[in-house]
Amino acid sequence: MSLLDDELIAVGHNGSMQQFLLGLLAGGSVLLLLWVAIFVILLGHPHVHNVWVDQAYEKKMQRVRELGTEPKIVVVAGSATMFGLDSKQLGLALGRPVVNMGVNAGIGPIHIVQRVKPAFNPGDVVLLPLEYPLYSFDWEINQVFLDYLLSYPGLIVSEPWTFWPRVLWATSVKRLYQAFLGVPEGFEVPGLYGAHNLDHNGDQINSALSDLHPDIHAGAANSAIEHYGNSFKREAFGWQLWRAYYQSIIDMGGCVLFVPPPMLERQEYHDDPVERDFYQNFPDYVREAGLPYAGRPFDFMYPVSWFFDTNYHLVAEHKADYTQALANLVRRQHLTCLAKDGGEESDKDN
Amino acid sequence: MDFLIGFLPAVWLLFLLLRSMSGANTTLMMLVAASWWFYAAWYPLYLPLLIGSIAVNYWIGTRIALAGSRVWLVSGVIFNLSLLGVFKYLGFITTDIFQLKSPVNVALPLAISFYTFQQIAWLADLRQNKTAVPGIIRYTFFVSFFPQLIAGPIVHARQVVPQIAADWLKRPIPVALALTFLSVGLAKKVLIADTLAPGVDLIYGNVAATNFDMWQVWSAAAGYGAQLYFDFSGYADMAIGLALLFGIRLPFNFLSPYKAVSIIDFWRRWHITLSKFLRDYLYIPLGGSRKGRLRRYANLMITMLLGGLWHGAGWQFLLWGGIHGGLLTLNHLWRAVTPIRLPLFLAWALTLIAVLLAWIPFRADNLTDALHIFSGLGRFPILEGGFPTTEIVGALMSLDASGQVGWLAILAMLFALLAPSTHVLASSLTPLQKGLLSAPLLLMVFKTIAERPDRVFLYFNF
Repeated sequence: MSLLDDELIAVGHNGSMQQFLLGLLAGGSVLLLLWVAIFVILLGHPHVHNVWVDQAYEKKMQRVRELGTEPKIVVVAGSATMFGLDSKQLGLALGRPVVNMGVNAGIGPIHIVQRVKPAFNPGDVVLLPLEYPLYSFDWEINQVFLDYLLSYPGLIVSEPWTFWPRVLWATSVKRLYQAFLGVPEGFEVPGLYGAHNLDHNGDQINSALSDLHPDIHAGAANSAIEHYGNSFKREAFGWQLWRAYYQSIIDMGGCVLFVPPPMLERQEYHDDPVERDFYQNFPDYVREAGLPYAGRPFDFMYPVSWFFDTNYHLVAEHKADYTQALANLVRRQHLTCLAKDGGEESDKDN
Repeated sequence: MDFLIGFLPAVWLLFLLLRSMSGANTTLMMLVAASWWFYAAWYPLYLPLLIGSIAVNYWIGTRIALAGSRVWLVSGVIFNLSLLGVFKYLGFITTDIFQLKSPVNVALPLAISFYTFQQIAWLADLRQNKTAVPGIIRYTFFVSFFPQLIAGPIVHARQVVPQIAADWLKRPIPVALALTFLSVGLAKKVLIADTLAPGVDLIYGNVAATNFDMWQVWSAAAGYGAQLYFDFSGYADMAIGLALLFGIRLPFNFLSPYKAVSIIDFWRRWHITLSKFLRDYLYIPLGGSRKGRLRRYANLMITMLLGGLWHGAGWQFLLWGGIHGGLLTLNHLWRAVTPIRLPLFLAWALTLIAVLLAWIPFRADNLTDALHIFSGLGRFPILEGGFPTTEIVGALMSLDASGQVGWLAILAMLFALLAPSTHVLASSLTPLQKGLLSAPLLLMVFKTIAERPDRVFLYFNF
């Protein structure tokens, strides 16, 4: 039986410990420097996961350009809106063309704001059925955000000092390798997501029950029960960002209204007091942050049979329900931009 | 991750503090408490079983030391085997052998195979006056010490107890050596074994739906062979490193087993402490090689069959033990009846192929799956397309072998064959070189753990 022999053990004296620590420092530093160097070199490289997002925004901007200076409604959010909104129906209800700028909440509010800013013209109405994490964004790093950030790093300039070290740590070798490979020539976005499945107004197509896999509801049914109430932070960076965006629109003569997104209803959101309070009080939280909000989140939560894939994506058959509810909600607001245009008005209900 | 950044630093700092301020007993008690905490963190309900097993064995040990009676040794062995029988084998015996409904349905208590064998060995050593009865704290420490509690190496009281004698706390702690073992062990586990794991799981999880050919059989055999080796030897390296941080030396468990040039040689290199245990406490008491050739081969078969069963209650483990028993018998027989010795390269290749193929029933969910995989040995693979360089590099960069297990297994095997064993490496490096090696490995390990969920060590299941 071989035990480590005494000769081997004898290396533990002080002098050798200093050498060992020196080695640790040197070895660690070399690897870190190498990692930072590779990271910096590959920063800004395109990535296949971002192609559909970029193409989707480009298609939506085409519609914006077509409309020129004609007053319109711009809907800003993530994919809940891309899948859940019927822009034509909303446009008919509110008497203005609608451009659905919803694409992917995962890329984070900083990039979303940056991408939708050019869509606005003075006199436009901006509706924001933001997914809840977009309000509470506080520099959390998830894979979608990371993928997008590494391809478009220049947008983030006001981050806390801990942010980039965290990004460096969260970036995998695989992600850098993918950045190195870039986007292959002739790459076409496959699947449901992407510009090829968007209509003229930027709404999702081919998401009807008949277009989808028989297990369509499984993804939604198996999706995690969210704990937004538990993780809610009033001081999160997201609030500052949306306030700044709101102010910029107001300054340019636009109207802004934050509204609830469509979301899968769970009994837990009613039973858990923290979650229940969150959704019940959310309109007040938004207003206290200085932002106009209409609607009640619980009124925009729907059964699982209305969703597929995730807890935010409505099947095409139920777009109309959400859109109608949204139209009713907006019509009841005193939005000056719509009033000039002759849109219907009634008393505020919130 | 919690272990590496929470438990270990906390316990080590406490150890250093107590080491300088108090005596061995207080330090030992702290380490026992920490080890029990560590054990309970996995499954608290089985902590009383561990403590009960220690108490009963210690009491029987004192009887053996007092009376020297064989009856007490037999009682101790029966007690320990009964524990194993109830918690590990009862379900197999009732349902698989007698096709009855199992009277109990319990999860396998973590580490039971290891701490039971260690205590059987202690009782047998006591009976043969190879060791003495230490104080209860020292004995409890010997069984519970967390670096080796869960998955070995199987240590003997006669190895550990003398190390915690009077000068234990005065000996310098070989931190550099300890961290080198720890970082190499972690790298083996996290960077290599866990990279192979998803691909191996994919193969063995879809056996019925796969039409195996020789390449896929290689992927199944070498993929799992490499995963198991880097997983288990990684754990052994970590255990040695962790124990060294507390001034305790543990025995080696691996000596580059895939470099073995015969099955006999393999068992001198693979899970060394188990093979020594089986030799000293089963094969030799059965008569070993002292009662003629036939009896020797029968003893070998019995030893290896039981060695197979030690890994788990299932026919596949029995088959694996039987295959190795048969190969060992063949190896001994060859040596006995013919002077012909194969060229080393051929001997090594044959040994490696036999060992790798034998992993298939060991890993497969059942015998049907194992036989289905083996059926692919008669089918040549159909080569399609060019060499999958991009896919292999992609799998390496992703640290996920899914779909490329065969190729990554080749790389892992090359590493296992060409790289020195950890103790040779550690003993050949200067302190500066140890640091230069350890820091990058630890950084890569922590980074990888941060990105993907850590997987439990394979031998925790045995």
